[in-house]
Amino acid sequence: MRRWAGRFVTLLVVVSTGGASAQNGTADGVAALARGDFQQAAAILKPIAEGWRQPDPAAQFFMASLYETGRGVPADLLRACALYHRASNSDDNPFGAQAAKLLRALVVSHIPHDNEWIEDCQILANVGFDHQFEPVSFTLAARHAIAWDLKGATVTYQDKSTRFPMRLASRGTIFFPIRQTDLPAVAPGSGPRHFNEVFLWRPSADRRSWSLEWHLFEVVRDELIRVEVTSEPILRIQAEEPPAPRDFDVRAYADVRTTGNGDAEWALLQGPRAGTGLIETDAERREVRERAVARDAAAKLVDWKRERDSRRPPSMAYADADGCGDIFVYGWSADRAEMITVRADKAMLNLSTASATFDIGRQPSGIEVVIHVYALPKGPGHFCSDIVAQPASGPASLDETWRAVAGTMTIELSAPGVRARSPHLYRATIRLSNAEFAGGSGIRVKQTQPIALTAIVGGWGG
Amino acid sequence: MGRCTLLAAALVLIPSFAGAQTTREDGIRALVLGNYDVAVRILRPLAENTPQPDPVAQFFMAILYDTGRGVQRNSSRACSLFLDAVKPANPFMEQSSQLSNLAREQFGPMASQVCVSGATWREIPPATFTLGPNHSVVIKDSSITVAYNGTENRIMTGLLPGAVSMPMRYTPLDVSRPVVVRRHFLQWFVWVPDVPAAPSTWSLGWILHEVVGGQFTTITGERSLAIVAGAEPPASYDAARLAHVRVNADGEAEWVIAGSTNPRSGVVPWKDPR
Repeated sequence: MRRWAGRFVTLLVVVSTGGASAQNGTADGVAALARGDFQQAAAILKPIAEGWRQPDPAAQFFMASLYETGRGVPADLLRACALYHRASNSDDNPFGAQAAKLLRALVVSHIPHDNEWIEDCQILANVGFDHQFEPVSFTLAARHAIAWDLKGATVTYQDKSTRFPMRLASRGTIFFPIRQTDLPAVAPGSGPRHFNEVFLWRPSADRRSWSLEWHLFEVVRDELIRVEVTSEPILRIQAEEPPAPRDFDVRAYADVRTTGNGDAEWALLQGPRAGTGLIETDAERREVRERAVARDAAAKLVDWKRERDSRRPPSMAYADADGCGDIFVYGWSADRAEMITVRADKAMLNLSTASATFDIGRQPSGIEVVIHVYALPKGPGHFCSDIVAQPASGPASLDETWRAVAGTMTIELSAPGVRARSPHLYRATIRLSNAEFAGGSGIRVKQTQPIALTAIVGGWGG
Repeated sequence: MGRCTLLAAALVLIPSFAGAQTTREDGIRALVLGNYDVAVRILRPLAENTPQPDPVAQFFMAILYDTGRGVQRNSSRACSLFLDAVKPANPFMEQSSQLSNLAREQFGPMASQVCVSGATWREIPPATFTLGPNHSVVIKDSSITVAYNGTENRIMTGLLPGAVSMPMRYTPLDVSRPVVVRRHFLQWFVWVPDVPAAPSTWSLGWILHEVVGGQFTTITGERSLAIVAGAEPPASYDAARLAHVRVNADGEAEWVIAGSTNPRSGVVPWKDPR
């Protein structure tokens, strides 16, 4: 008779409470706990509490108590905290409400001396107990090492440690062991390049499909640099559970390797995003970074509000340059109130890596050299940008132009490949000698010093 | 549809035919599965007002009182039951201890009054008063419900641990000032023990309420009209001579506290229900 009644009670409850409802097994587990049979209670409650099938605050609350007191399982306060944390998400459940109180007390008892412990508790609660992440350290060279944990990585270089916080794990994430791959040196005399790869399975919200993600990093001195491959998963499978990391060959999907030229490249070997890409060298990254730093510093020195007469003669001295397309190069004065633009049609002029010289005075078609003199400094993005600020009125719109009427121009292009991530880009080096410019009122100015402009071109917004 | 009704009927019937065989474990199972009414019916008699309470049942009843499942929410009772459930040794003693400590911290200085171990818990005696057509007051299950012209106003209340409530007294007064009207007063006399678990003296408290339309308001009160010695409060006591409400010589409603160290009286101001 009892069995009959029990079955109906279960039916009714499952129908009525939906979401955060206890499972029949939970009742068995709590009953075992009440009898003092802790082994049995832990055996029943652990998979329910730690799994993701359905939030079960009762199982989580009582399993937390077993971890807290070390009954039926080895004492583990961190797991207790994580399960109280999980249960407290169901605060409309009587056990969830108690869990919230005990969690608060546990957290308060760890503040402020152990905020890391609290963070670990949260990660465990949110990511889950089956993440399979294994903390690991790699020695890359003498006095050069990297250590990974669930919260990020620490690079130690010449006895100095740098922390790189990282949140790769989310709810239900399952990690492969982190891989360390050395690729041979690029330049003679330099050491090998150190790549670290994080492969992981990330479940969809309904846990019916799993995405394989590949996160590629390079360790360079004291830095950990993320190599951008794709923000998309490299594989997606429909399954309740993903293949176990130890039985799954990620190398069939993604690799980091050396090309025939000795460059480092990433390769996606299967799927819709299959392809390869060169990985920036240290020298290239440094150049990009140093240039950005220098530009920021120069921009800080500009008096952006200083207004001047735009009818003044041009200074013809340029501090920096940029470019785009095939090819357009623009240089600017240190005060940003003057720009020089050089348009040279690569195809029409048959430009190549061989240096070519043109007489500007003969106005060759396919070449246009203009100086713009402004009343107010111009910010970046004035040229080679989809968005150009064009004030409707006011002094900022005043612009005197001076056209090149004499002198010679030499153009030399590099081979493509100056930027690993945009392999079609190349460098244009322009030199104007004895250039003479004519203003709107017929005045001429001449620059006896050569004007040199160097920019990476071949694309847009590069 | 028919099946649902059958299931619901089955559920309601369980306690009656399962009666003698129900165990603590059935109560725990019912609670875990969210069947709180069944859990209360099984666990409450094992937890409260019994010579040998079961600490495991007390732990689960505390959770139900704390969250108001199957019973009227009562944090004082929850805290006291958690305190009870710490002893004798049982699988839930650590959590009971932690949860009672946390609740006592919340109560602050009041804790020694509201969260006590070993107290006897009593209910307010149920009563129903008819104040007029479509106007009534029902006292039941720690709540006072005022029904007025089809609307219901429910006020939750409860007794301190060990306290004994006399039946609520309904006193209608026909006043002539400031307006000619029938006013409805409820007087509540409560015996509060000095030590809830082992009383030696009892203070008689008094609270005066007025019902105006659907509204229920508290007018005044006195914590200690009198103190009597004894393990139990007096079985019968003439409380009306110590505090009451009446129509005074001017035709107004007036309360009088004759007992206590501070005798006093006052007019109950009239608030138009509209």
